[in-house]
Amino acid sequence: MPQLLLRRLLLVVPGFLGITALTFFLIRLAPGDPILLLAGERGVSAERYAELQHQFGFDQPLILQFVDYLWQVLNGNLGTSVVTQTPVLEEFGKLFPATLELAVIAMILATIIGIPAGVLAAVKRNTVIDHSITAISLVGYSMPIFWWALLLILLFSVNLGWTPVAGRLNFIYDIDRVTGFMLIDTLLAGDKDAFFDALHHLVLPAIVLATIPLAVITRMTRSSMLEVLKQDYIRTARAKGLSEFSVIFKHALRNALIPVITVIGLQTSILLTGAILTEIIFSWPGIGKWILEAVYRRDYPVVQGGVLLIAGLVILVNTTVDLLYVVINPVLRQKK
Amino acid sequence: MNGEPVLLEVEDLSVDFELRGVSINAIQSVSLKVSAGETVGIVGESGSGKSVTSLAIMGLIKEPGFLRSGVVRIFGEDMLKLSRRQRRKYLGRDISMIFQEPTESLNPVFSIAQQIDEVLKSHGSMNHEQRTDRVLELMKIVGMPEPEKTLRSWPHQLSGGMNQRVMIAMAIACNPSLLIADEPTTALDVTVQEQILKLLRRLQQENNMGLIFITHDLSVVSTIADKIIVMYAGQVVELCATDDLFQQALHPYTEALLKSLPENYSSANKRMDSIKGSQPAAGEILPGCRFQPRCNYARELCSQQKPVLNAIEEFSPRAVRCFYPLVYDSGTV
Amino acid sequence: MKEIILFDDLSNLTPHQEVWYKLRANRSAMTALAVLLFLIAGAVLAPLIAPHDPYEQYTDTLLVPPYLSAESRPGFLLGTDDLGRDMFSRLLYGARYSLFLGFAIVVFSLVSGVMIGAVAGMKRGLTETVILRLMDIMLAVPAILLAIVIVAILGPSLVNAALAVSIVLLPQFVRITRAAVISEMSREYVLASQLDGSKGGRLFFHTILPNISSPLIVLATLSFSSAILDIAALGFLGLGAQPPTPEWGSLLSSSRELIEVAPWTVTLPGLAILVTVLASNLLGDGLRDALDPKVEVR
Repeated sequence: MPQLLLRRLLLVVPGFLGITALTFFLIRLAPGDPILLLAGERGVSAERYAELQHQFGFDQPLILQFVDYLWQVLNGNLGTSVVTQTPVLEEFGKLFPATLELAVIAMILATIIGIPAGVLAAVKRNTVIDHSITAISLVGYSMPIFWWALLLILLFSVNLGWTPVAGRLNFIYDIDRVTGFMLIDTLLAGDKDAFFDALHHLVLPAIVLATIPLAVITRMTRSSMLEVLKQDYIRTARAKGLSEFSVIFKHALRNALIPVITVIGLQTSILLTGAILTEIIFSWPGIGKWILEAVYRRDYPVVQGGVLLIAGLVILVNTTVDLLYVVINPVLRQKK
Repeated sequence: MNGEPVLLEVEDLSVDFELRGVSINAIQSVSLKVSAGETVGIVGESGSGKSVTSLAIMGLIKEPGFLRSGVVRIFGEDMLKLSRRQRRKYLGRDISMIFQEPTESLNPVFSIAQQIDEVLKSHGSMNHEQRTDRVLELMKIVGMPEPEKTLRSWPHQLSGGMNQRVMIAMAIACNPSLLIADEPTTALDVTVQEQILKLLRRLQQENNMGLIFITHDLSVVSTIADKIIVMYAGQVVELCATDDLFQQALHPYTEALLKSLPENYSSANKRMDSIKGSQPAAGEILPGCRFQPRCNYARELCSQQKPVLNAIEEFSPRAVRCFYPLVYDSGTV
Repeated sequence: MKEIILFDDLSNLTPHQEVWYKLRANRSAMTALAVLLFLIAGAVLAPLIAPHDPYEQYTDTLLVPPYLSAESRPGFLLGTDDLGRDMFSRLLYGARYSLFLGFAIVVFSLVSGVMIGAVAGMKRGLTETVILRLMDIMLAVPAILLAIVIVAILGPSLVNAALAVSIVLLPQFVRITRAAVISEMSREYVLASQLDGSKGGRLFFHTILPNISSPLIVLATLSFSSAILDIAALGFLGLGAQPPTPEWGSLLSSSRELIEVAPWTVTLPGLAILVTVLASNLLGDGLRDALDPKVEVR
């Protein structure tokens, strides 16, 4: 098993190198002078230009530039935002918890609704319940989420006034930032009103973000359960006189969840895609909105660094999921 | 068998499968009796309905299968009239079943120990320690080499033969009165087959258990069964004590089966007999006898009317579903 | 246990007929196909059936609600937007962008993906590893982000958005083709073909490709859905179609602020996207089931 672990971890390295290379070349591909892009559109004097040229190493051969960039990245220097003049890594660190909080809540929602729905649809196969659940998840899967967000805002914020339209917290609350997670920080500050306000702000974005993973999880659970319920060992479980509950939730579900858990883990990429769209509509101050605005503002260091960080995050999570998968599936544990 | 209590009485069991509004008959009017200590063999080709019969007895027929009629009396109680919850009390405790593909029939994510323990936990009143002891005891009873190691393993780590022993251990854990074995040796090597058969025989004798042994292999069943039921196309076509059957078959199908056994390959023939044609397709409804298209002795009546199962009292247990059973045909009995 | 589907007369069906038969039996897939054909017809015939020019601004009929509402005006079936343009016509023309672009994107990704995947699967070795790693990296970057960045580099326009989405959808085709090619390469009919002198391109196109078409077809339909959604998303973000082009996504972007005043300008374009993608997904599901060899025709 340790061998497998090591091998899987080693595979991350070329992935990481690849991402770095990709982002490195992104800037060089953008039209226009890269130095001007990296320095900002305010224009530079001739001396500053030469200075920057040397600083960014454009006077060196490409491969050395890449090595230099790689070295910078490994040291934690991913550039500086042209707009805010803050280091990219620092900005990322500040805004990441907002996205993480949203993503985690969305994932929890998607899982606690999706798995039971999928099980129900499988057990009640071909009935009205099954058809309804399948239809709903198909619609959720086919929906443009930016439109879905607008519809929910129209209904709940504009027409009913139940939820706020934007942001994480009403500006009247002043909460110290401890973890960056609003739900935790408001509790730590002992401010119950603020806590509920934060929750209030989370509801719609979380629902929107959860929609696609919910649909995927429901479908996946249903089809996995259907496969498992056909298996011989389910027949054996019934022949042993076990209760239907035990047959479904102990024998079947344990097996059915194995592919579902991998799917859940691999949703990171999808979640981040959704986050970008969700955050921009709800003005949620997370990395999705951050990187999108950077694109609008031609803040290339942020784009470059942001893509590297986000992609790196996805690779990290996927690798962890792969390893976890080996742990939970006893069959794979024997193979090397 | 004489003097022994009747464990299982099946009367007029019929099961249909409903697909897209079409009703397909799987088994029709199947009846059988099993007494304590008796082994009943059910023989037939694939598709003859032998597995469906066993599942129907256990009450495990699910959609799209439907029980059309029938009574299944175990210890005098009609199982099919019970609710699923009530029936569950019997399954695994008084009547157990083992299946054809032992490795597929075990849950891949639970260890052997867990799976055997589960039967004890859901039916008995033993505490954890007692169960652990019993599980180990069962491993030894079924002749498992290295019992402790096996208990900690997962099904995919064990061979087919070992997994079948595990299935048997699970099945006899609560000392059932009746065990149904659905093609338990078909998927195993010949040498392992022998071992499993021996094990079943021994267990049966030691516990005076009733055993239903389902197979397509007449030669296998001849070594283990006291009486044999031959099934064809969902119906029982012949019922006979084993020795008598091999002496003289009454139904043309049984005769053909016997002739096609490798043992009966005679150098005079220089060819192994096989039965021409195949079973009727699912859903195909014949006006007369279901075997008629392939029967060497078929006459006009056979394609016009359906024969019923006639018990021959003088030679009980003996019954045949044929208008012209072989012996009677030749005029001698 | 295999599923059994009964048909009346079915002696010798060719594999193609069998697939078509199974698909025909799937009512929702057939409905989806009908909807898609209907939409395609609408898109193709847009210049003929649209009541107005989609760019024409009728300054005296701004923000008119659709037909069933009290203040609706004749001639504007689905109302108008804030510049007095007819919604129905704009939506019809928008269908052209979504459907045709979606199709073009899928074709592009399919063709290039299959070729790259074939090279990876047949050449193996270093080429394969490099290609695989590259695809993995592309898949690691969230789809929208990758598209956004590509468009950011090339400049926002509909064409660039389409190109970006094609690139984003490419890796899936590469992976599936490569996997399918690898598993087919060891099969006997391929070896037989090779002994016959077939190799490289001919071996692939003539011998292998016909046998790996099923998963590719399914992926193509599902990619069509993704393509439409991604183009719309880019349009919505202002990185794809630029106003006044009536692409559905960019329609949503310009009407976002009108959400309280004229909700139909928001609901209708989104609904159009939803219906199209839903139909495409249903069809894709139906195709996947029809092409699945485990479901028997009896």
